[in-house]
Amino acid sequence: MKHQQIRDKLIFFREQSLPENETRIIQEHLVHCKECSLFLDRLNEDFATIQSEKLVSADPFYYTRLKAKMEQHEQLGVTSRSWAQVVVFSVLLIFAISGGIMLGKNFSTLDYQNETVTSELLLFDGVKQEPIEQFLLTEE
Amino acid sequence: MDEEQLIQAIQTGDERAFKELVEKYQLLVVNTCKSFVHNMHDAEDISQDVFIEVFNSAHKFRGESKLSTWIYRITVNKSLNFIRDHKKQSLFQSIGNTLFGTSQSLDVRLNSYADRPDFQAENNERKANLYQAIDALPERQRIAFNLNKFEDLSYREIADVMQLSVSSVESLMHRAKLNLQKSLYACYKNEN
Ligand SMILES: [Zn+2]
Repeated sequence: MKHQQIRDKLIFFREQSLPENETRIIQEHLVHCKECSLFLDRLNEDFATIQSEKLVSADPFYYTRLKAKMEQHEQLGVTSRSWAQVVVFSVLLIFAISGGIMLGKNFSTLDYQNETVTSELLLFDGVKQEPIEQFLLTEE
Repeated sequence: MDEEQLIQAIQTGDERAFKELVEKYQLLVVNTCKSFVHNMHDAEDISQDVFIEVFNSAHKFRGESKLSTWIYRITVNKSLNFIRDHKKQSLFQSIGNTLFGTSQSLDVRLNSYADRPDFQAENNERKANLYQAIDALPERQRIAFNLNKFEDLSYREIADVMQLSVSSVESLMHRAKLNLQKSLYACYKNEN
């Protein structure tokens, strides 16, 4: 195996996951190849770093902090729920008021129409027949 | 309480059972989060969200997998979501910086942790290079690698968490190691 081929197998070599013959060839290469040997040390150090990063003892105050966050979430939930209630009630109120106005309008128009339907038609009949511009023009 | 009793108690809102679960899985969850974000502050924040999700969706746990597998799955998802959100934020920040002429680094990955004071205080350049090499792995390779190297999970356990076959995990791990070796070799050459 060439230097580069060996270098590409070092990560597997350090885990002892290569076949026996390949392991032996790499071991022999490492004796006289400084670059591969240094890179293997480097890989071993990096993998040791990964292991050293792990927390090994639990934090006794972790649960207290977690509960505090959960309560905060709950409060936010309650606040947003009460906001949602306010919004729903406001929308209902607006609907109720506008509904009331509409109904009121409808009833008042009906009454008005009943009383003045003939006069209204007679009064504006001419305007409805011809546009206002024309009416004004003919006036001049 | 065994796993089944524990989760059943949590489903009924039993706080003592939840506390027991948190104490049992705290290290597992925090360490897994840390393997993705590389700093304690964010790891704790994400881990808390994991436990909140466990508490709120305990009723969804059907016992088809081990409890730890289910918790690992939630933890990996929360960590990846955090990273995605953070990358988006950094990207918008970078675009903003470019548009408005400030000269901050455009390297989103680097912005995600290596520029932070807490990271600089705790770590050296070598660690930053290592984490960047891990973070540069494609997502599924990174999940498999982190669960195997930081959490010491077997390929079978990783397959359960990722809902893949063992041979798929083997293949992911093989490619992850080759990619990592390539990145680390490039760093090593740059240093020498
Ligand atoms: Zn060599």
